[in-house]
Amino acid sequence: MLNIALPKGRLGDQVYGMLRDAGYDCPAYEDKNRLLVLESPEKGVRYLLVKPSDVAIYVEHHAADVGIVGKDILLESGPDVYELLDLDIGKCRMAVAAPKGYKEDPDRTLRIATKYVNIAKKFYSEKNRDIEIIKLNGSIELAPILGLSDVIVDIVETGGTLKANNLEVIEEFKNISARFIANKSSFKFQNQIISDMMEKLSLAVGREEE
Amino acid sequence: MKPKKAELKPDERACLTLRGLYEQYGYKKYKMGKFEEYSLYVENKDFLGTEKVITFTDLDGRLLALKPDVTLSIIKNTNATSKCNEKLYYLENVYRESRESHTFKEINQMGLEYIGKVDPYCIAEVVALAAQSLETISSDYILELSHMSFVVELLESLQVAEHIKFKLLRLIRSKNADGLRKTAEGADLSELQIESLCRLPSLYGDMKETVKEAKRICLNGAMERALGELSQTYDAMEAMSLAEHIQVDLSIVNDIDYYNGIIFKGYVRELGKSILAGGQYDQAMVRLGKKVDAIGFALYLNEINRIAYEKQEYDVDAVVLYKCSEGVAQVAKAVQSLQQEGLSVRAEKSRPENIRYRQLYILENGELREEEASC
Repeated sequence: MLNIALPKGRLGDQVYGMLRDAGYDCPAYEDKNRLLVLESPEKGVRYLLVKPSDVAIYVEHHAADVGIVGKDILLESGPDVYELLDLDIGKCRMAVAAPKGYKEDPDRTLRIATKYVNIAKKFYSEKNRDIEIIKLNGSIELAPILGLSDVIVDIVETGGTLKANNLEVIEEFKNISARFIANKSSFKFQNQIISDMMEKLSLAVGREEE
Repeated sequence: MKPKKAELKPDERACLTLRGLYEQYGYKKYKMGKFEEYSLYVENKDFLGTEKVITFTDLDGRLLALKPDVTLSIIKNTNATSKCNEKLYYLENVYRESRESHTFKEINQMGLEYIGKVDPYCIAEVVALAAQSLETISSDYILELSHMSFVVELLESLQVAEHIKFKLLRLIRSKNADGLRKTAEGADLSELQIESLCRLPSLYGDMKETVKEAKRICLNGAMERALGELSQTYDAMEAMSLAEHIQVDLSIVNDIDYYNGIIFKGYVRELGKSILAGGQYDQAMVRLGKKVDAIGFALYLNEINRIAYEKQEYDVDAVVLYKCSEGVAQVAKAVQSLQQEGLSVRAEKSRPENIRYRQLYILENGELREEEASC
């Protein structure tokens, strides 16, 4: 039985759709109940529904054999897993945003509000900029409006939320999409099953591109 | 009197078996001090892969560290020459950062080092011992071999900037073929070079087939020689009938400034992380000013206890309840009589709430009476 960690929410549903079409369907998933563990014994898979930012943790610690996770989370936490496939869905960009008309004062410490502390640190250390990071867990857009920070570092999909809050993107620096990851030990001991799944998913990615 | 055997945890059991195994091959146990000069780790932080070390100032003002690693100390202190080899193993606690909890943790490490003139037999011996070490821990194990030169020479031949090289190394380690393609295309490499890079993540599995596949992407003689050495080691494993659990994975790359030659990583089915890692580290010897070769590995014993094992149902076989009025000699005799049957015994004045026992005895006027079965 292969344990698959799926992120709860829209991305998870989208990925489940791909896996279902690839032959790993699980009727229990479609029932929409509140179960967190959904099994499909005849297909040999068990889906675990977890918080998106926890997917990599489940996989790294062997609670799940494979998982689907956003690249933003991989960049932020740097887990020791195999990153086998770019699924080309859940696409967005990691970006710096600020209130419209913002001009950076290079003589001052830059205050940044973000969920992605490590990504922001790395990005600005490459620029050799003195910064102060304020870690928030949501509604990041609020920070510059209230003067909590000068800019924010966050993922931007359509830019709708930014626009609604009178913010704009200053710089985009990373493309983000969903990745198929595997635990290093599972990849060796269940190689046939995981390779098969990877193959089928990569065909599905190819089809969608066409 | 039947002696009662202590129940051993998996790491303790492994430790005993492995000491026997290593000594059978003439390795000597090496007991080390707990502290080391901090400067050793500052100069070699790439080898450790971390800068986080527990430091303190000794009474004479020197800055010392609690060992985060044993191999560096062994290299620093070795007297081996190319004519006089040193074969040793160790069992030590090291202190490293735990990424999950952002604290230091104590890691129980067992390791083996061969220092001196390393020839193909030495490599085969150490790899065989690594395989046998894994076998004592779980019958379902995989030891993956790789060769540093294969990837290092491939990267050298690309002639890319240093930071791109490190990026490529990171992508290779995580088998990220999509990322490799994108980075390689961005670095303006030839079609053939890109193809070679992108094939790397899938070069794993059965030794013979993988080596055959890998030959196709060889860009120079050094890469072919690396494959030759891998095959040679594998043949030796076949001769020792250890080949069944040996695989190859050319995407394993250790730090390029310290390792060269054969490297390996060991996994068991029960655990999600590699529990054994090692390889040839002549480069490290050079960096520390030693003119000999070396190969070795370390085994992380902490991880092993996460394997489920049969836990004892009871903390103690028998509890003997006695009253104050009972004579000391009487109680001692009662305890001894039960121990003679090979049971573990606790004498208590009242029914113990915090332990699980199989049998309860009550001692009254020198008479031992069985009360009830289990709790």
